[in-house]
Amino acid sequence: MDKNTHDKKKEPKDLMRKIVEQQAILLDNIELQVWYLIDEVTYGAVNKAYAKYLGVEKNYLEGNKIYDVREKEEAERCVAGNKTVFNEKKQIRTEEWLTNQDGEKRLFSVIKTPKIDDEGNIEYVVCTAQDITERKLSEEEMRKRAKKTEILNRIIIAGNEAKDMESLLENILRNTLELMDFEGGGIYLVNEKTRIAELVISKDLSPEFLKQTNNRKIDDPPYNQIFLRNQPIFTDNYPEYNPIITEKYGFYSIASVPVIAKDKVIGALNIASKSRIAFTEEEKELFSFVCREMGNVIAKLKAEEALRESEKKYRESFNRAEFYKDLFAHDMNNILQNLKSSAELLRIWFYDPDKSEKLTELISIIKEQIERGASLILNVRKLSNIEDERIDEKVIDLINPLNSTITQIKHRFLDRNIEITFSPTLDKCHINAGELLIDAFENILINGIMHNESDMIKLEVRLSNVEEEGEKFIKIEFLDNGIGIMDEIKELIFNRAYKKEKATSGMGIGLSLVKKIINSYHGKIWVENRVKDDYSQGCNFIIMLKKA
Amino acid sequence: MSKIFVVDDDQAILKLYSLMLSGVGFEILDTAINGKIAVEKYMQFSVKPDVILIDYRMPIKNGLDAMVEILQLNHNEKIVFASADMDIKEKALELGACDFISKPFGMDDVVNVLNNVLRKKGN
Repeated sequence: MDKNTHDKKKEPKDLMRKIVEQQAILLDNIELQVWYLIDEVTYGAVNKAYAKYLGVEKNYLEGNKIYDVREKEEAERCVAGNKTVFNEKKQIRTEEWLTNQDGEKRLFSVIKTPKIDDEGNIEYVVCTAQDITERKLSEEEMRKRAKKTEILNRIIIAGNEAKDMESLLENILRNTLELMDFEGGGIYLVNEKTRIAELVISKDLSPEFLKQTNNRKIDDPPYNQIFLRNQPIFTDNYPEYNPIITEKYGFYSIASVPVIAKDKVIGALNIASKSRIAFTEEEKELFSFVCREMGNVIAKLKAEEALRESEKKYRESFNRAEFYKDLFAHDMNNILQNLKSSAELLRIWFYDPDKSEKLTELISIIKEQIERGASLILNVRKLSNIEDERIDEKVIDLINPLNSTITQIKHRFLDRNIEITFSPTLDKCHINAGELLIDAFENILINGIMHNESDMIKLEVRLSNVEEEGEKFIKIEFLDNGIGIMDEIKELIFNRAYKKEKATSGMGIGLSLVKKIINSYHGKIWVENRVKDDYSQGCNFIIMLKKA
Repeated sequence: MSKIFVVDDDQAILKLYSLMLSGVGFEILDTAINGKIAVEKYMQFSVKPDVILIDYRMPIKNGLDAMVEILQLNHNEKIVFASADMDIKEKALELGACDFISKPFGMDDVVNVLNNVLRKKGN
């Protein structure tokens, strides 16, 4: 005889009792809390888990009122829910923070389901409660982590995509405001030299507001708290703190969080909200996290920028060195060629009395070439000094270096017929420059002598005051009666770019040096014809230097 | 007398070419201080030079570009390069230069090269 046949033979009452007993055993052995409600306030049967939660015996609850076993506030909330079920005859699902017998707050998922009879009346309500505190906390933790990960990802992507500091900060600010749901904000970066935090990027802040907030003195309170003491400011109630700003711009809460790189505050992230009153702890933590990560990315980008700048400088320096080396080698070879040819001719004609005139000419060429070689070497040295930025600058009277240069030139070319005219017409010619100015003047004057085929070499120096776009300059003109410079190469002689191709020949290295010197003293130089529309009548080199 | 057209932007070397070559059977037909002037002068010559002695690195137009233009006008023209830029030697010869003298050269070097070129031209 099988078991079913045996059960069928049992009395229905016994069977019913057994089922109830089995159900009770089942319900008493699960963690889910189960209880019945006879009406809105009265318990029916409950399982052990529920009785244990309330700290009472299971049998004690049946027939007792909710108010007898629960705290008043919780009981009222519970009864309110019960009323909804009994009145509306519908299942309700809620999540409630409840206090257990140890006084510990726990989060429960509560379901209350009415049992309705054939006539539509509620017989009882079955309630279940599951403790979801751990699950919820874990979900919350995961949500926070997801948000952190999302922000971190966006910052890293912003760091990788950033072409420059501005685009990086713009990207970070936009993503932070979007993810954290704030209306506007800005990022400050500290300028160590000026001790001022400058607003470098902002979003959705009015120009008026920006005007008031674009610079912060890092040593002054309350900003020293952020920039010197590395402490964020979270102003939850801005109307109280600064009612004018709130009234004018509508901000209720403002935060300023230090941005840190390598344990140093390098700036601050400021955000503002018009709609919320307070910052949550989670938001505060997230902002600090964002600022730490932002600091790391900024530090990385700064390091990359510094490396790129250093590479660029090195490349430029290498190209310049190659350029000067090439130009120096070329000019030096030409000098050697001229010396070699002159020496050979001297050897051949030395004892020929008919060639004495030619010998004088050759000696003159040799002297010129030695002079040219010496100038070349000196100029390369000076160029190197300027490249290394070893250049001095102070207020000087222009008349002195001009007089000194003219005296030197006259002394140097005693064997040439040279007439140099310089009668200063200005009383005061104070400019910001240094001793290299003499080299610039010397090179221009020598240029006028070396590239000159006139029997009488005529050089003239003129000074005048000039005003351009509200700035006062002293204009210095060097006029010569040399062979002149054709229009096509007038710019070329000054603008020899340090490109890979060979330097084109021009007026030698001297004028490159002149331009560099004048530029380093914040001046400008160009060349015109001495006589308009006839380059062959000589040059007019014009220098403009700012008045001190 | 063989006529030489000298092109170089260095005034001193133009003078020295004149002193060196005029004493050994050459006549300096004319001089030019860059490639552009050289081409312009070449076009205007009623009597063409026997040899053009040309530098490479000059302002406005370099020696290579000037040579190409002159050879387009007269592909039989004899052009000799005299330059400190050794690295353009191969290109100069490839584009039609008869010879290349590297600066600094001796007087004998330039005279020998010019005579060789003229001898070949005569043949």
